[in-house]
Amino acid sequence: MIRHHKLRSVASHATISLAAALALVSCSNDQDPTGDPTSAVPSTSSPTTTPTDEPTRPAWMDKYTEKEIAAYEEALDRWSTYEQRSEPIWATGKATPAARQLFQEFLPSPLWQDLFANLETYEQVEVRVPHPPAVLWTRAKRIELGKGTGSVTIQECVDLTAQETTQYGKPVDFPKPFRKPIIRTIVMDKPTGHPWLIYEYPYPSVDDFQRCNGGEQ
Amino acid sequence: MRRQFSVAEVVVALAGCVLLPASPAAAGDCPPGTTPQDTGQGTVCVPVVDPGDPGSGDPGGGPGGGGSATCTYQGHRLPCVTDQGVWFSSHQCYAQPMNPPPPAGDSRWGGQDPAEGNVWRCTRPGVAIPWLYFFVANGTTPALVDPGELAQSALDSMTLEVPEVHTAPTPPDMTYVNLDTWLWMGESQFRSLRLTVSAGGTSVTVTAVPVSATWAVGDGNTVVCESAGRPWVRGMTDAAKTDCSYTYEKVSDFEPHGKFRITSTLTYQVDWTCSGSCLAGAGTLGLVDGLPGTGALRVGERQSVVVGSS
Repeated sequence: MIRHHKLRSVASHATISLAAALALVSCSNDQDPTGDPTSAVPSTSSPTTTPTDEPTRPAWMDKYTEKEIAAYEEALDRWSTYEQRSEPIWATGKATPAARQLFQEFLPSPLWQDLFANLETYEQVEVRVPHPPAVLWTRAKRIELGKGTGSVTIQECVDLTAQETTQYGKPVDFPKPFRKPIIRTIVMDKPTGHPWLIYEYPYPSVDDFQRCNGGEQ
Repeated sequence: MRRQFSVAEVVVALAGCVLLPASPAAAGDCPPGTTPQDTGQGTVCVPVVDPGDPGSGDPGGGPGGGGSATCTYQGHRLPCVTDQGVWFSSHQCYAQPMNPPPPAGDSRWGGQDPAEGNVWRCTRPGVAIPWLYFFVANGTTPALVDPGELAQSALDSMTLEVPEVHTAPTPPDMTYVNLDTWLWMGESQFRSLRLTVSAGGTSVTVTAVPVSATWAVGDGNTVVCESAGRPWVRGMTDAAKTDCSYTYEKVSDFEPHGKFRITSTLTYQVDWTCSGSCLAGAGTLGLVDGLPGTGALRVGERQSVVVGSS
Protein backbone atom coordinates (compact mmCIF):
# COMPACT_ATOMS: atom_id res chain seq x y z
CA MET A 1 0.00 0.00 0.00
CA ILE A 2 1.26 3.43 -0.88
CA ARG A 3 1.08 5.89 1.96
CA HIS A 4 1.31 9.60 1.52
CA HIS A 5 4.00 11.51 3.27
CA LYS A 6 2.29 13.94 5.57
CA LEU A 7 2.90 17.63 5.30
CA ARG A 8 4.58 17.84 8.63
CA SER A 9 3.15 20.30 11.06
CA VAL A 10 2.29 22.74 8.35
CA ALA A 11 -1.39 22.13 8.32
CA SER A 12 -1.75 23.45 11.83
CA HIS A 13 -0.44 26.85 10.86
CA ALA A 14 -2.70 28.83 8.63
CA THR A 15 0.01 31.15 7.49
CA ILE A 16 2.28 28.30 6.68
CA SER A 17 -0.48 26.53 4.85
CA LEU A 18 -0.83 29.59 2.73
CA ALA A 19 2.87 29.60 2.10
CA ALA A 20 2.74 25.94 1.31
CA ALA A 21 -0.14 26.46 -1.05
CA LEU A 22 1.72 29.24 -2.78
CA ALA A 23 4.81 27.11 -2.84
CA LEU A 24 2.77 24.27 -4.27
CA VAL A 25 1.86 26.48 -7.18
CA SER A 26 5.50 27.20 -7.66
CA CYS A 27 6.49 23.60 -7.18
CA SER A 28 3.73 22.35 -9.39
CA ASN A 29 4.82 24.69 -12.07
CA ASP A 30 8.39 23.65 -11.61
CA GLN A 31 7.64 20.04 -11.19
CA ASP A 32 8.69 17.54 -13.73
CA PRO A 33 5.82 16.35 -15.88
CA THR A 34 6.71 12.70 -15.48
CA GLY A 35 8.05 12.53 -11.97
CA ASP A 36 4.70 12.46 -10.26
CA PRO A 37 6.20 12.40 -6.79
CA THR A 38 4.19 11.44 -3.79
CA SER A 39 2.09 14.42 -2.93
CA ALA A 40 2.66 15.81 0.50
CA VAL A 41 -0.03 18.43 0.33
CA PRO A 42 -2.83 18.01 2.83
CA SER A 43 -6.24 17.55 1.39
CA THR A 44 -7.37 20.82 2.90
CA SER A 45 -4.91 22.69 0.72
CA SER A 46 -6.44 21.60 -2.50
CA PRO A 47 -10.02 22.31 -3.47
CA THR A 48 -9.92 19.53 -6.00
CA THR A 49 -8.93 16.85 -3.57
CA THR A 50 -11.35 15.10 -1.28
CA PRO A 51 -10.39 13.11 1.80
CA THR A 52 -11.60 9.92 0.17
CA ASP A 53 -9.48 10.25 -2.91
CA GLU A 54 -7.13 7.32 -3.40
CA PRO A 55 -3.69 8.46 -4.34
CA THR A 56 -2.35 7.39 -7.66
CA ARG A 57 0.93 5.56 -7.64
CA PRO A 58 3.71 7.97 -8.59
CA ALA A 59 5.59 7.03 -11.73
CA TRP A 60 8.97 7.01 -10.01
CA MET A 61 7.88 4.03 -7.94
CA ASP A 62 7.67 1.87 -11.03
CA LYS A 63 11.38 1.23 -11.08
CA TYR A 64 11.38 -0.19 -7.57
CA THR A 65 10.08 -3.44 -6.15
CA GLU A 66 7.39 -3.54 -3.50
CA LYS A 67 10.04 -4.54 -0.98
CA GLU A 68 12.13 -1.54 -1.90
CA ILE A 69 9.16 0.77 -1.69
CA ALA A 70 8.32 -0.66 1.71
CA ALA A 71 11.88 0.05 2.84
CA TYR A 72 11.64 3.58 1.46
CA GLU A 73 8.44 4.17 3.39
CA GLU A 74 10.00 2.84 6.58
CA ALA A 75 12.92 5.17 6.11
CA LEU A 76 10.63 8.06 5.30
CA ASP A 77 8.53 7.39 8.38
CA ARG A 78 11.64 7.43 10.48
CA TRP A 79 12.75 10.73 8.95
CA SER A 80 9.28 12.18 9.48
CA THR A 81 9.33 11.07 13.09
CA TYR A 82 12.63 12.81 13.57
CA GLU A 83 11.32 15.99 11.99
CA GLN A 84 8.23 15.89 14.17
CA ARG A 85 10.12 15.25 17.39
CA SER A 86 12.85 17.76 16.66
CA GLU A 87 10.40 20.53 15.78
CA PRO A 88 10.02 21.79 19.38
CA ILE A 89 13.78 21.57 19.85
CA TRP A 90 14.52 23.90 16.95
CA ALA A 91 11.56 26.05 17.90
CA THR A 92 12.94 26.71 21.37
CA GLY A 93 16.57 26.65 20.24
CA LYS A 94 17.90 25.18 23.46
CA ALA A 95 20.69 22.64 23.48
CA THR A 96 19.17 20.44 26.16
CA PRO A 97 20.05 16.90 27.21
CA ALA A 98 16.75 15.80 25.68
CA ALA A 99 17.83 17.29 22.35
CA ARG A 100 21.15 15.51 22.58
CA GLN A 101 19.34 12.25 23.26
CA LEU A 102 17.01 12.72 20.32
CA PHE A 103 19.88 13.43 17.94
CA GLN A 104 21.72 10.36 19.25
CA GLU A 105 18.62 8.29 18.61
CA PHE A 106 18.26 9.32 15.00
CA LEU A 107 21.78 10.03 13.75
CA PRO A 108 25.04 8.10 13.85
CA SER A 109 28.13 9.48 15.46
CA PRO A 110 29.66 11.96 14.67
CA LEU A 111 26.69 13.45 12.79
CA TRP A 112 24.62 13.85 15.89
CA GLN A 113 27.42 15.73 17.62
CA ASP A 114 27.61 18.14 14.70
CA LEU A 115 23.90 18.70 14.79
CA PHE A 116 24.01 19.28 18.52
CA ALA A 117 26.85 21.75 18.06
CA ASN A 118 24.69 23.47 15.49
CA LEU A 119 21.93 23.71 18.06
CA GLU A 120 24.37 25.03 20.65
CA THR A 121 25.34 27.75 18.22
CA TYR A 122 21.71 28.56 17.61
CA GLU A 123 21.18 28.86 21.34
CA GLN A 124 24.21 31.11 21.60
CA VAL A 125 23.05 33.44 18.85
CA GLU A 126 19.35 33.12 19.62
CA VAL A 127 18.15 31.46 16.46
CA ARG A 128 14.72 29.89 16.58
CA VAL A 129 13.17 27.77 13.86
CA PRO A 130 9.50 27.52 14.75
CA HIS A 131 8.56 25.11 11.98
CA PRO A 132 10.16 22.55 9.73
CA PRO A 133 10.12 23.35 6.03
CA ALA A 134 6.86 22.77 4.22
CA VAL A 135 7.24 19.49 2.38
CA LEU A 136 5.48 19.64 -0.96
CA TRP A 137 6.35 16.23 -2.23
CA THR A 138 8.70 13.41 -1.49
CA ARG A 139 10.23 10.64 -3.52
CA ALA A 140 13.03 8.12 -3.45
CA LYS A 141 16.09 8.81 -5.50
CA ARG A 142 17.85 5.59 -4.58
CA ILE A 143 16.87 2.45 -2.69
CA GLU A 144 19.36 -0.29 -1.95
CA LEU A 145 18.67 -3.26 0.25
CA GLY A 146 21.00 -5.83 1.76
CA LYS A 147 20.62 -8.59 4.30
CA GLY A 148 18.99 -6.75 7.19
CA THR A 149 20.41 -3.49 5.92
CA GLY A 150 19.28 -0.74 3.63
CA SER A 151 20.13 2.62 2.24
CA VAL A 152 17.59 5.06 0.90
CA THR A 153 18.11 8.49 -0.58
CA ILE A 154 15.03 10.62 -0.09
CA GLN A 155 14.33 13.77 -2.03
CA GLU A 156 11.89 16.32 -0.72
CA CYS A 157 10.59 19.37 -2.46
CA VAL A 158 10.47 21.89 0.35
CA ASP A 159 9.53 25.46 0.98
CA LEU A 160 12.23 26.60 3.38
CA THR A 161 10.61 29.95 4.09
CA ALA A 162 7.83 28.12 5.93
CA GLN A 163 10.29 27.66 8.77
CA GLU A 164 9.81 31.33 9.75
CA THR A 165 13.24 31.41 11.35
CA THR A 166 14.01 34.24 13.75
CA GLN A 167 17.19 35.53 15.30
CA TYR A 168 17.21 37.83 18.29
CA GLY A 169 13.42 37.78 17.97
CA LYS A 170 13.37 39.11 14.42
CA PRO A 171 12.58 37.18 11.24
CA VAL A 172 15.68 36.32 9.30
CA ASP A 173 16.11 36.82 5.61
CA PHE A 174 16.19 33.87 3.26
CA PRO A 175 18.71 33.92 0.44
CA LYS A 176 17.03 34.44 -2.89
CA PRO A 177 17.57 30.87 -4.10
CA PHE A 178 15.74 29.59 -1.05
CA ARG A 179 12.66 31.71 -1.50
CA LYS A 180 11.28 29.23 -3.98
CA PRO A 181 10.88 25.53 -3.28
CA ILE A 182 14.02 23.48 -3.63
CA ILE A 183 14.90 19.83 -3.39
CA ARG A 184 16.66 18.67 -0.29
CA THR A 185 18.23 15.28 0.07
CA ILE A 186 18.23 12.97 3.05
CA VAL A 187 20.12 9.70 3.17
CA MET A 188 18.67 7.14 5.54
CA ASP A 189 20.70 4.02 6.21
CA LYS A 190 19.80 0.95 8.18
CA PRO A 191 23.00 -0.67 9.43
CA THR A 192 22.87 -4.21 10.76
CA GLY A 193 21.17 -4.31 14.13
CA HIS A 194 20.11 -0.68 14.05
CA PRO A 195 16.98 1.19 13.06
CA TRP A 196 16.97 3.57 10.12
CA LEU A 197 19.38 6.40 10.87
CA ILE A 198 19.97 9.73 9.18
CA TYR A 199 23.32 9.38 7.43
CA GLU A 200 23.02 12.56 5.44
CA TYR A 201 21.29 15.46 7.06
CA PRO A 202 19.85 17.97 4.63
CA TYR A 203 21.77 21.23 4.68
CA PRO A 204 20.64 23.10 1.58
CA SER A 205 23.42 25.19 0.12
CA VAL A 206 22.96 28.31 -1.95
CA ASP A 207 25.96 27.17 -3.98
CA ASP A 208 24.58 23.78 -4.73
CA PHE A 209 20.84 23.41 -4.82
CA GLN A 210 18.20 21.99 -7.08
CA ARG A 211 14.87 23.49 -7.94
CA CYS A 212 11.99 21.12 -7.63
CA ASN A 213 11.77 20.93 -11.40
CA GLY A 214 15.45 20.28 -11.73
CA GLY A 215 15.68 17.04 -9.84
CA GLU A 216 16.48 13.66 -11.18
CA GLN A 217 13.36 11.90 -12.33
CA MET B 1 31.79 27.39 30.13
CA ARG B 2 30.47 27.50 26.63
CA ARG B 3 33.08 26.86 24.04
CA GLN B 4 33.66 29.23 21.20
CA PHE B 5 32.85 28.12 17.70
CA SER B 6 35.10 28.84 14.83
CA VAL B 7 33.63 30.16 11.64
CA ALA B 8 34.55 26.94 10.00
CA GLU B 9 32.83 24.97 12.68
CA VAL B 10 29.67 26.94 12.43
CA VAL B 11 29.74 26.99 8.68
CA VAL B 12 30.19 23.31 8.63
CA ALA B 13 27.52 22.74 11.17
CA LEU B 14 25.07 25.02 9.47
CA ALA B 15 25.90 24.48 5.88
CA GLY B 16 27.02 20.94 5.69
CA CYS B 17 30.75 21.41 5.48
CA VAL B 18 30.55 23.83 2.57
CA LEU B 19 32.06 27.23 3.06
CA LEU B 20 29.37 29.55 1.92
CA PRO B 21 29.88 33.16 1.01
CA ALA B 22 28.46 35.57 3.51
CA SER B 23 25.47 37.54 2.40
CA PRO B 24 26.79 41.07 1.80
CA ALA B 25 23.37 42.57 2.10
CA ALA B 26 23.01 41.29 5.61
CA ALA B 27 26.56 41.94 6.71
CA GLY B 28 25.73 45.20 8.40
CA ASP B 29 22.87 43.64 10.28
CA CYS B 30 24.98 41.29 12.32
CA PRO B 31 26.26 42.31 15.75
CA PRO B 32 30.00 42.79 16.21
CA GLY B 33 31.86 39.51 16.38
CA THR B 34 29.37 37.71 14.17
CA THR B 35 29.00 37.30 10.46
CA PRO B 36 25.98 36.49 8.31
CA GLN B 37 25.69 32.97 7.12
CA ASP B 38 23.24 31.55 4.62
CA THR B 39 21.77 28.31 5.80
CA GLY B 40 18.83 26.18 4.96
CA GLN B 41 17.11 27.91 7.84
CA GLY B 42 17.69 31.47 6.68
CA THR B 43 20.52 33.95 6.91
CA VAL B 44 21.68 34.00 10.50
CA CYS B 45 24.54 35.74 12.26
CA VAL B 46 27.13 33.34 13.59
CA PRO B 47 30.17 33.99 15.79
CA VAL B 48 33.46 34.81 14.12
CA VAL B 49 36.53 33.06 15.41
CA ASP B 50 39.81 32.52 13.64
CA PRO B 51 39.48 29.03 12.18
CA GLY B 52 42.94 28.19 13.33
CA ASP B 53 42.36 29.37 16.84
CA PRO B 54 41.66 26.51 19.14
CA GLY B 55 39.83 29.01 21.32
CA SER B 56 38.79 28.00 24.75
CA GLY B 57 39.10 24.41 23.75
CA ASP B 58 42.89 24.65 23.64
CA PRO B 59 44.12 21.93 25.93
CA GLY B 60 47.45 23.62 26.37
CA GLY B 61 49.12 22.01 23.49
CA GLY B 62 51.74 24.66 22.94
CA PRO B 63 55.40 24.16 23.61
CA GLY B 64 55.95 23.80 27.30
CA GLY B 65 52.25 23.51 27.85
CA GLY B 66 50.36 20.58 29.15
CA GLY B 67 52.30 18.20 26.99
CA SER B 68 49.56 17.60 24.47
CA ALA B 69 50.55 16.74 20.96
CA THR B 70 50.01 19.64 18.58
CA CYS B 71 49.14 19.79 14.93
CA THR B 72 49.11 22.69 12.53
CA TYR B 73 46.72 24.07 9.96
CA GLN B 74 47.72 27.02 7.81
CA GLY B 75 50.35 28.03 10.30
CA HIS B 76 47.99 27.84 13.26
CA ARG B 77 48.63 25.43 16.07
CA LEU B 78 45.79 23.04 16.71
CA PRO B 79 45.37 20.34 19.31
CA CYS B 80 45.70 17.00 17.56
CA VAL B 81 42.80 15.52 19.45
CA THR B 82 39.70 17.35 20.56
CA ASP B 83 36.14 16.34 21.26
CA GLN B 84 35.69 16.70 17.50
CA GLY B 85 38.05 13.82 16.83
CA VAL B 86 41.57 13.37 15.53
CA TRP B 87 43.19 15.92 13.27
CA PHE B 88 43.93 14.47 9.85
CA SER B 89 46.46 16.65 8.13
CA SER B 90 45.84 14.66 4.95
CA HIS B 91 42.24 15.80 4.93
CA GLN B 92 42.74 18.98 6.94
CA CYS B 93 39.93 18.20 9.26
CA TYR B 94 39.05 16.62 12.54
CA ALA B 95 37.46 13.26 11.92
CA GLN B 96 35.80 10.46 13.80
CA PRO B 97 34.84 6.96 12.80
CA MET B 98 31.22 6.50 11.85
CA ASN B 99 29.32 4.70 14.55
CA PRO B 100 27.48 2.67 13.54
CA PRO B 101 29.29 2.30 10.26
CA PRO B 102 27.14 2.66 7.17
CA PRO B 103 25.83 -0.58 5.65
CA ALA B 104 28.06 -2.44 3.26
CA GLY B 105 27.62 -1.11 -0.23
CA ASP B 106 27.06 2.46 0.94
CA SER B 107 28.99 4.82 -1.29
CA ARG B 108 30.88 6.12 1.74
CA TRP B 109 32.86 2.91 1.78
CA GLY B 110 34.35 3.87 -1.54
CA GLY B 111 34.24 0.25 -2.61
CA GLN B 112 36.24 -0.88 0.42
CA ASP B 113 35.39 -3.96 2.43
CA PRO B 114 33.77 -3.04 5.76
CA ALA B 115 35.61 -5.96 7.34
CA GLU B 116 38.88 -4.23 6.62
CA GLY B 117 38.29 -0.90 8.28
CA ASN B 118 35.80 1.84 8.91
CA VAL B 119 34.47 4.99 7.37
CA TRP B 120 35.61 8.19 9.04
CA ARG B 121 33.96 11.52 8.65
CA CYS B 122 35.33 15.01 8.89
CA THR B 123 33.53 16.76 11.67
CA ARG B 124 34.49 20.41 11.59
CA PRO B 125 36.95 20.89 8.79
CA GLY B 126 38.77 24.15 8.45
CA VAL B 127 38.46 23.93 4.72
CA ALA B 128 35.72 23.55 2.17
CA ILE B 129 35.51 19.82 1.83
CA PRO B 130 31.85 18.91 1.70
CA TRP B 131 30.79 15.94 3.73
CA LEU B 132 34.12 14.31 3.55
CA TYR B 133 34.11 10.63 4.30
CA PHE B 134 37.15 8.44 3.95
CA PHE B 135 38.17 4.89 4.63
CA VAL B 136 40.66 4.04 7.37
CA ALA B 137 41.99 0.50 7.29
CA ASN B 138 42.18 -1.63 10.41
CA GLY B 139 45.52 -1.30 12.13
CA THR B 140 46.03 2.22 10.84
CA THR B 141 43.38 3.76 13.00
CA PRO B 142 44.80 6.84 14.66
CA ALA B 143 44.60 7.27 18.37
CA LEU B 144 41.50 9.02 19.56
CA VAL B 145 43.39 9.80 22.73
CA ASP B 146 45.93 12.56 23.12
CA PRO B 147 48.90 10.88 24.79
CA GLY B 148 49.84 14.17 26.44
CA GLU B 149 46.46 14.35 28.09
CA LEU B 150 46.62 10.71 29.01
CA ALA B 151 50.03 11.36 30.56
CA GLN B 152 48.60 14.25 32.52
CA SER B 153 45.80 12.07 33.83
CA ALA B 154 48.36 9.43 34.76
CA LEU B 155 50.38 12.02 36.63
CA ASP B 156 47.25 13.20 38.41
CA SER B 157 46.68 9.71 39.69
CA MET B 158 50.33 9.17 40.60
CA THR B 159 51.26 9.46 44.27
CA LEU B 160 54.26 11.74 44.44
CA GLU B 161 56.34 11.51 47.56
CA VAL B 162 55.60 13.82 50.46
CA PRO B 163 59.03 14.17 52.11
CA GLU B 164 59.44 13.32 55.75
CA VAL B 165 61.26 16.22 57.37
CA HIS B 166 64.25 15.17 59.40
CA THR B 167 66.81 17.45 60.99
CA ALA B 168 69.87 17.11 63.16
CA PRO B 169 69.74 18.23 65.86
CA THR B 170 66.45 16.39 66.08
CA PRO B 171 63.39 17.80 67.91
CA PRO B 172 62.62 18.06 70.70
CA ASP B 173 66.27 19.09 70.88
CA MET B 174 66.96 22.51 69.51
CA THR B 175 69.55 23.56 67.00
CA TYR B 176 71.67 26.66 67.41
CA VAL B 177 72.60 29.72 65.49
CA ASN B 178 75.76 29.17 63.46
CA LEU B 179 75.50 25.42 63.87
CA ASP B 180 75.30 23.36 60.65
CA THR B 181 71.84 21.79 60.81
CA TRP B 182 71.43 18.68 58.71
CA LEU B 183 68.32 18.22 56.56
CA TRP B 184 67.12 14.96 55.04
CA MET B 185 64.04 13.02 54.07
CA GLY B 186 63.23 9.33 54.02
CA GLU B 187 66.01 7.69 52.09
CA SER B 188 63.66 5.86 49.75
CA GLN B 189 61.64 8.96 49.02
CA PHE B 190 64.06 10.48 46.54
CA ARG B 191 63.30 7.93 43.84
CA SER B 192 61.80 7.71 40.39
CA LEU B 193 58.16 6.86 39.98
CA ARG B 194 56.54 5.23 36.99
CA LEU B 195 52.96 4.60 35.96
CA THR B 196 51.43 3.21 32.78
CA VAL B 197 47.87 3.98 31.78
CA SER B 198 45.96 2.89 28.73
CA ALA B 199 42.95 4.13 26.84
CA GLY B 200 41.79 2.24 23.80
CA GLY B 201 44.86 1.21 21.90
CA THR B 202 47.02 3.89 23.45
CA SER B 203 49.34 3.25 26.38
CA VAL B 204 51.33 5.98 28.02
CA THR B 205 54.08 5.42 30.56
CA VAL B 206 54.81 8.40 32.73
CA THR B 207 58.14 8.62 34.52
CA ALA B 208 58.69 11.13 37.30
CA VAL B 209 62.37 11.53 38.23
CA PRO B 210 63.16 13.63 41.33
CA VAL B 211 65.62 16.37 40.48
CA SER B 212 65.64 18.42 43.67
CA ALA B 213 64.23 18.93 47.11
CA THR B 214 63.44 22.46 48.16
CA TRP B 215 63.63 23.11 51.89
CA ALA B 216 61.94 26.21 53.19
CA VAL B 217 63.65 26.54 56.56
CA GLY B 218 61.21 28.99 58.13
CA ASP B 219 63.34 32.10 58.38
CA GLY B 220 62.57 33.16 54.83
CA ASN B 221 65.40 31.26 53.22
CA THR B 222 65.32 28.12 51.12
CA VAL B 223 67.84 25.40 50.52
CA VAL B 224 67.76 23.39 47.32
CA CYS B 225 69.29 19.95 47.59
CA GLU B 226 69.81 17.48 44.78
CA SER B 227 69.47 14.44 46.96
CA ALA B 228 67.44 13.12 49.85
CA GLY B 229 70.14 14.45 52.17
CA ARG B 230 72.28 12.38 54.47
CA PRO B 231 70.73 11.03 57.66
CA TRP B 232 72.70 11.94 60.77
CA VAL B 233 73.22 9.02 63.06
CA ARG B 234 74.43 8.99 66.61
CA GLY B 235 78.13 8.45 66.83
CA MET B 236 79.05 10.52 63.81
CA THR B 237 82.00 12.76 64.40
CA ASP B 238 82.25 16.41 63.59
CA ALA B 239 84.12 15.44 60.45
CA ALA B 240 80.95 13.90 58.94
CA LYS B 241 79.61 15.88 55.97
CA THR B 242 76.25 16.23 54.25
CA ASP B 243 75.19 17.82 50.98
CA CYS B 244 71.98 19.15 52.49
CA SER B 245 72.17 21.41 55.48
CA TYR B 246 71.45 24.91 56.68
CA THR B 247 72.99 27.28 59.18
CA TYR B 248 70.51 29.52 60.96
CA GLU B 249 71.53 33.05 61.72
CA LYS B 250 68.74 33.92 64.09
CA VAL B 251 66.79 32.34 66.86
CA SER B 252 63.20 31.17 66.54
CA ASP B 253 61.98 32.71 69.79
CA PHE B 254 59.54 35.01 68.05
CA GLU B 255 58.02 32.34 65.74
CA PRO B 256 54.71 30.60 66.51
CA HIS B 257 55.37 28.17 69.34
CA GLY B 258 58.96 29.39 69.31
CA LYS B 259 59.86 27.20 66.32
CA PHE B 260 60.63 27.66 62.67
CA ARG B 261 58.24 25.82 60.38
CA ILE B 262 60.17 23.73 57.89
CA THR B 263 58.79 22.34 54.62
CA SER B 264 60.40 20.09 52.09
CA THR B 265 59.07 19.72 48.55
CA LEU B 266 60.29 17.33 45.90
CA THR B 267 60.47 18.51 42.30
CA TYR B 268 60.18 15.90 39.57
CA GLN B 269 61.03 15.94 35.91
CA VAL B 270 58.03 14.23 34.34
CA ASP B 271 58.27 12.67 30.89
CA TRP B 272 56.11 10.23 29.02
CA THR B 273 56.42 7.68 26.28
CA CYS B 274 53.57 6.30 24.24
CA SER B 275 53.11 2.84 22.84
CA GLY B 276 50.39 1.31 20.72
CA SER B 277 48.31 3.74 18.72
CA CYS B 278 50.05 7.05 19.30
CA LEU B 279 49.86 10.56 17.95
CA ALA B 280 53.33 11.16 19.36
CA GLY B 281 55.95 8.78 20.67
CA ALA B 282 57.11 10.80 23.64
CA GLY B 283 56.69 14.09 25.40
CA THR B 284 57.22 15.89 28.63
CA LEU B 285 55.06 17.40 31.30
CA GLY B 286 58.07 19.37 32.55
CA LEU B 287 58.98 20.04 36.17
CA VAL B 288 56.26 19.13 38.61
CA ASP B 289 56.26 19.74 42.36
CA GLY B 290 54.92 17.21 44.80
CA LEU B 291 53.18 18.11 48.04
CA PRO B 292 55.35 19.48 50.87
CA GLY B 293 56.22 17.60 54.00
CA THR B 294 56.38 19.68 57.14
CA GLY B 295 58.24 19.85 60.42
CA ALA B 296 59.32 22.41 63.01
CA LEU B 297 62.55 23.19 64.76
CA ARG B 298 63.55 25.41 67.66
CA VAL B 299 66.66 27.50 67.10
CA GLY B 300 68.49 28.86 70.08
CA GLU B 301 71.71 30.70 70.77
CA ARG B 302 74.64 29.50 72.78
CA GLN B 303 76.01 32.00 75.29
CA SER B 304 79.72 32.00 75.70
CA VAL B 305 80.89 32.26 79.28
CA VAL B 306 84.37 33.45 79.85
CA VAL B 307 85.73 32.08 83.00
CA GLY B 308 88.56 34.15 84.32
CA SER B 309 91.49 32.80 86.32
CA SER B 310 92.52 34.33 89.52
